[in-house]
Amino acid sequence: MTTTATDPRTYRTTYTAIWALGAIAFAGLIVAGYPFVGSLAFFLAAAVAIGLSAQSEAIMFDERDEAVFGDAGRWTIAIVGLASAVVFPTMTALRALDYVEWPLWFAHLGYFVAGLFAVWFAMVLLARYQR
Amino acid sequence: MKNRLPELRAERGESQADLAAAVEVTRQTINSVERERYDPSLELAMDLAVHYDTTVEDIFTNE
Repeated sequence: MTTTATDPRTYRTTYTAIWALGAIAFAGLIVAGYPFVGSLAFFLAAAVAIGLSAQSEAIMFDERDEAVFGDAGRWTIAIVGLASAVVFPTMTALRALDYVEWPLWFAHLGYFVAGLFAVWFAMVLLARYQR
Repeated sequence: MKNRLPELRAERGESQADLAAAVEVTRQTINSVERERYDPSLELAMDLAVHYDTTVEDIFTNE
C-alpha cells in the first residue's frame, strides 16, 4: 500500500519522528555540552509536533491507540510494581543485616518508584471519582 | 468478537480506509476489528451500525 501526504500513517509517522528527533537532540546536545540549546531544540520539536497534530485533519490516534497505551501503561506499572516489591524489601533486609550497601543511585531509584506510585495512586482516585 | 464488517463492506464496495474515514478512526482499527483482535467501544460499534443502517447485534456476535 502506498502512502500519500494526507494518509493518516504519514502524519502518525511524522508526528512520532518529530518527538523522537526532539528527544535525541535534547539528549545529544546535553552530552555535547550544550544543555540550553538542547532544551530549545526539544521545545521547538514539541511545538512543531503539536502544530502538526492541531492542523492535521487526518485521524492520527483513535480509541484503539488509547487502548494500546492503556495496556502498555498497565503492564509497565505491573512490572515495576512486582520488581519493586521484590527488590526493595530484599535490599532493605540485606542492608539491615550489613550484607550490602545502599548505593546513592539506588536510593534515587527508590524515590523515583515511590513518586511514580504516588502519582499512580492519585490517578486511580481521580479515575474512580470520575466514574 | 465475531463481526460481519468484511461482508458489509464488500456489499457496498468500500475499502477499510473508506469505512475508517466514515466513522473517524484509523484504517488499522477497522482492520483489527475485522480480524477480531480489537473489540470496538460501544460508541464505535454504534457508529458502525448507523453507517450500515442496521443494529449493533446484527454486525457483532459475542461467540
